Amino acid sequence: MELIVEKNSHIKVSLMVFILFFLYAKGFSYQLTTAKLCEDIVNGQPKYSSVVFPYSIKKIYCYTLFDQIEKETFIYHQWYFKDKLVAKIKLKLKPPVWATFSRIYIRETDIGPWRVEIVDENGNLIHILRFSVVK
Amino acid sequence: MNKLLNIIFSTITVKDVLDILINSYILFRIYVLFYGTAIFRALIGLVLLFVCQRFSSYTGLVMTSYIMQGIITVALFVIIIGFRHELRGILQTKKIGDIFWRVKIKRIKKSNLHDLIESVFSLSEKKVGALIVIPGKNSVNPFVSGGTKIDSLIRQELIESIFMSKGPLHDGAIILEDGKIKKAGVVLPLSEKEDLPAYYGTRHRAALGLSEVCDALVILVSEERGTVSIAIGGEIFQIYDKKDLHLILNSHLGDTAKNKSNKDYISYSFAAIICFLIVSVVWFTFTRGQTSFASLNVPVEIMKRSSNVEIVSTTPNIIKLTLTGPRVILRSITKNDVDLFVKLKDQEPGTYLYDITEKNISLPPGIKVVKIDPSRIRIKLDKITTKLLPVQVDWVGKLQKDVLITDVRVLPDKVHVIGPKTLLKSISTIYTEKVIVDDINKSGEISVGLKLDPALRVKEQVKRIKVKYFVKKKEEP
Repeated sequence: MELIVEKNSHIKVSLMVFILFFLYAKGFSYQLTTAKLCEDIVNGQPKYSSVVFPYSIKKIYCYTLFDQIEKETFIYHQWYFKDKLVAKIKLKLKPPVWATFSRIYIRETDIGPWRVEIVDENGNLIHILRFSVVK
Repeated sequence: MNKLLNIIFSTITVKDVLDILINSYILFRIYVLFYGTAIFRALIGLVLLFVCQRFSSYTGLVMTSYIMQGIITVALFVIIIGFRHELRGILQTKKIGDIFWRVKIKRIKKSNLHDLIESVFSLSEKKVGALIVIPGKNSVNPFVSGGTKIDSLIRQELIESIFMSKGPLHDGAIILEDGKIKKAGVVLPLSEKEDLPAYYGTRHRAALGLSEVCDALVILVSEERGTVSIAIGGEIFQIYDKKDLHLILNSHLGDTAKNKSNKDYISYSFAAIICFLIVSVVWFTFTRGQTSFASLNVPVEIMKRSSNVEIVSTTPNIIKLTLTGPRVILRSITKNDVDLFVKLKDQEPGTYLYDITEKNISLPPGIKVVKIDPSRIRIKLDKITTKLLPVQVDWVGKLQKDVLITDVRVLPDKVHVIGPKTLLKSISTIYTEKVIVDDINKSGEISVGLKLDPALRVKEQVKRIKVKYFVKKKEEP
């Protein structure tokens, strides 16, 4: 009888380990609901969302909104100018819903194609936003 | 030796053959027009001087060569000035074609010879002095003076009556030309020779004088002794019978008899061959003898056997070659005539150094490489792979102040790009050609091409990318 109980407990332990491993492998999930590039952030909301920005506005914001955040974590906004990484900004996410943004300053020398890669803490790509800076 | 001949003859073009033929014909015409005249002898002397000059130049006798050059220049002027009458006589020929293609210019028809010979010997029997001029190839007009124009057919009676009469015409010479008696009572130049026989009178001196300055033949009948003589080329020969005179006249006028004609034909053919050979030798001396140097920038061509690797870079890709060879060929040579190629042995990705030697260079025959700069090139090979890359629009220009381009959709938004592995590794986006935003004020759609590195190509048959853009005014909520 004891032997049978022992056997069942082994199964339960194995099942628990498997569930824990599955949850770890899956990671703490969150959902990106909004990702926008904009000229400004007003009252926590993106203003003048666009994909082409004149360098005269001096600043560009990348706004991201997440929900279903299970646990505090962080993400990165990686800014690339012509395939060259120029800024990597670490941003915190808190459960259950969190909006966050990063910004860069632009000059005339920054005219050209850009992209922002939104990646998780492990470097996994979540989303890409593409834009251009013009005169 | 065979190789050298091959090099020389393989570089001859149709243009060169034409060049040789034209100059050969010019030389042949000079021979035909001037042969037997004093000019011809002067020209022979000039040619000998030229040969001496070339020889001294070739052997490095600098001063001799310069002096020869000076003498040739002066000699040319002397010939032109000294023989101006003869030259004018040739150039004043009635038919311009005579200068270019006629072999013999006949001054008198052969049908008239009988009357002429009969009259000469008739005058001889009667001891009546006579001077009859039969021009050769050149005109006698520059050397004679006076005379009365007759322009009559050659008839025995007429010739005899001119010389037998006591009128003013009997004392001069008659000129026979174009089957006619052109002039009578013509005054001939007197010879200034001092070693002439004592029995030579003024008539002899006149006949000799004209024959010294031109190629005319002068028939002379002595008044004192009744002898018949001919003066030609500065000499006098006595003629004893009609047959001899007939032969000499035929020879002077150009015999139409078959054997004689054939002889002339062979003689001229031989002269033409000699002219061709002389011109060919001179042509080769000029064009192939003088060597020179030239430098040329030639692009490097890489020949690879495998399609799995791509040439990423060749450093440098242009090589400066210093070449030597005949000046004429060097002058006309361009980088298109020279191939500089490297056959790749290595087929694996990597960087390789190759030495450029003469074996890598293909040159026109007769040309050699003296220097290769630089003589070593660096070739970078890479493996060919495919990568799926997103397409991004490259916006340029000045955006209108109140315009917001809120969204862009690209179709296709990704393309498979084929190219060198290391190059593709550094690329994460493929950009479109530049799209100008200046005039954009409302949503629309455009079609643009892709801007690719020359080493890359798109796998799909994608020529144009559709770009759909959405515009919003800033005033709008």
